[in-house]
Amino acid sequence: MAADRARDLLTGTLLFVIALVWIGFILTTIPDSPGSPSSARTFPLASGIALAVLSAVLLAGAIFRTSPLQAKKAAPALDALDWRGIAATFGFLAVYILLLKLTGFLIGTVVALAAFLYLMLGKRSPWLLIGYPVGFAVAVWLILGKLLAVYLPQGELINLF
Amino acid sequence: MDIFLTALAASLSWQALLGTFFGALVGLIFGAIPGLTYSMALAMVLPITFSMSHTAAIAMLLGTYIGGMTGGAVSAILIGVPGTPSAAATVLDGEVMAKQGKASIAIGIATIAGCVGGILSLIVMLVSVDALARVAISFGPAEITALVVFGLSTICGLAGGSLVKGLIGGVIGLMLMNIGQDPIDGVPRFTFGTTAMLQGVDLLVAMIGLFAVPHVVTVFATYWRGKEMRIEAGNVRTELPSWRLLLSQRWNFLRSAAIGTVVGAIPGTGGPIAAFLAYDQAKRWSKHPETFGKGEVSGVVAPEASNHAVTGGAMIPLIGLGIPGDPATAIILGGLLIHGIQPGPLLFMEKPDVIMSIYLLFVLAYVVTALIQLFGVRAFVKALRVPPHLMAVGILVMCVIGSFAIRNSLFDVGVMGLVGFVAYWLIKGGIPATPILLGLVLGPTLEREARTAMIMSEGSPAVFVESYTALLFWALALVILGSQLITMMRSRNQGSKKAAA
Repeated sequence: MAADRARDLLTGTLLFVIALVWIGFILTTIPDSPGSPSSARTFPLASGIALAVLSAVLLAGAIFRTSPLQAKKAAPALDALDWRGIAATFGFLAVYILLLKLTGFLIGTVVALAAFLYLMLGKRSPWLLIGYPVGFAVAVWLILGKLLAVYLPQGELINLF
Repeated sequence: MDIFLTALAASLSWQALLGTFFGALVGLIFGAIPGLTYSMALAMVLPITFSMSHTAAIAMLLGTYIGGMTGGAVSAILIGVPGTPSAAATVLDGEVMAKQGKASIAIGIATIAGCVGGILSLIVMLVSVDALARVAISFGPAEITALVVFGLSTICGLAGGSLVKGLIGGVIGLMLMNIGQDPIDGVPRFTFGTTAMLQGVDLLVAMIGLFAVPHVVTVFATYWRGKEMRIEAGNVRTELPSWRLLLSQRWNFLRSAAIGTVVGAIPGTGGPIAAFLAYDQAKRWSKHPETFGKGEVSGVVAPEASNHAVTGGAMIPLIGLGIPGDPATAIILGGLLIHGIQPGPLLFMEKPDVIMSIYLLFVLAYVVTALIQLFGVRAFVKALRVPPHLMAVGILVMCVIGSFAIRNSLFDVGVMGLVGFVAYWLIKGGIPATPILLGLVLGPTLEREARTAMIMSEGSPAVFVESYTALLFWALALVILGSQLITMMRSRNQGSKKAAA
């Protein structure tokens, strides 16, 4: 129950702060239209107020919670492996975007996949390290790029095909 | 007749057939692997459809949707883990049949039941969707606003354990769609002076980030934790049920399909509810209810016919009103919009051939899915054995390519990553993803129509409650909200009583 309560307190507080920042940003950057029934501000402002109210309700619920039923639904807290998963996923995305920009789809995909398999997933089989990245990249390039004419990233430095 | 022939020719073109086949294959694989959802599959195949004709695109989306629904039964039967939530009820008897050495016939009957259930639901869809669209043609901005609010109220049913968290999810979805130029005056909002942000957050980019990225993070963490699921499914072969067996299930087919269609037509419900309701009814009507849970064929037929019938039911509000009832139909709606098809009453007048194509492609998707499932079942068993972490790396690559293909922009790929990052934290914080999706899909329509109504009424909010239709939708939204509140209060009270005891 404590983990669930702490989670709701943190989520509620963060969302409440985000809602306040959102509202402040609207009031300072989006112009109002006096005399008009609605303006570009109306909906973002209504959404921000709704988020502020709902996150306040979530916070209040967490502070005054007594129901034992919700304690059973408590999610486990993040551990080091969750953080590793987050770092691996978003680190891969950042590196892959950079590689695509510089080397295009085919080279970027093969290099990014092989590096991820080796460095992050600890794979050592040469068949897997070569076969999976090359097979996957070529299959996507042929099916999407050639057969379905989907535009794939072109490299600024090197470009295959 | 001309419309039918035109639609038939388009639906049987090689592009549409290929689209259906590819979509069904992807859907079946994603449906069969526990943890991968067909909503994710739909979000990933959507960018592939950009360069296609709208018929081929619809074919691929419907193929993926229906394939995903069908694939769930494979893992439910073979390993006792439902590939999709809709297949949860199939586990009850399907797994027992597999343990009794009847896996092949269980998969065969589940596939046929799904196909029959889906096509039966199409008949109901054919009859009702046109009537619904005829009524909806008279809707003005005020009625559409009320209708969208009714659609958003289904968040209550999709919220999971907490109504407040579900509503927060919906509001976050609405907020994301506020970024970019506003739809009436063209005023830039939250663009930070950049031109890239003027077009706002692309719906598809947000969908990919929302559904695929958090899943990938979880898969990697599970892998490093050493808790990755290793699937050891035995060998199965194709085995079709006999005519005698099929005929003995005729009332079960009809009853379960009827349940699935009705449940599917109610936004915010979905396959799992329909499947368990149908299972329960099959047991009640059976002469031998004691055999259920012990490998009873009717216990496989009922949930599979019912959860597939949900697809036809869910298409009724989607095509007739433009209101999605679940994540999958929300993504299909997004796909149709990208191809310039706005579901709703006007579509029936302006593009009747598209409506006819949807009906025909629906049948085609069921037939193709059933054939692939029946004759390719061995391949799906192999797909089940691919380690999830290797699958996750490939999914991540597809997410990047999908996000890039929308506007040929690496900026969109970054937005997808950012949405995925935020979505992961929201999900970890207990905020469900589906209400966010509903907010994303319905947000722009809500703002556009509500502001148009306000302008037309010169600022009088009474415009929203002047017509009986609008009042009906407001009332329905209140009923859904009220019923959810009552359900939650009851469950809370029961929890308190149990704790006290």
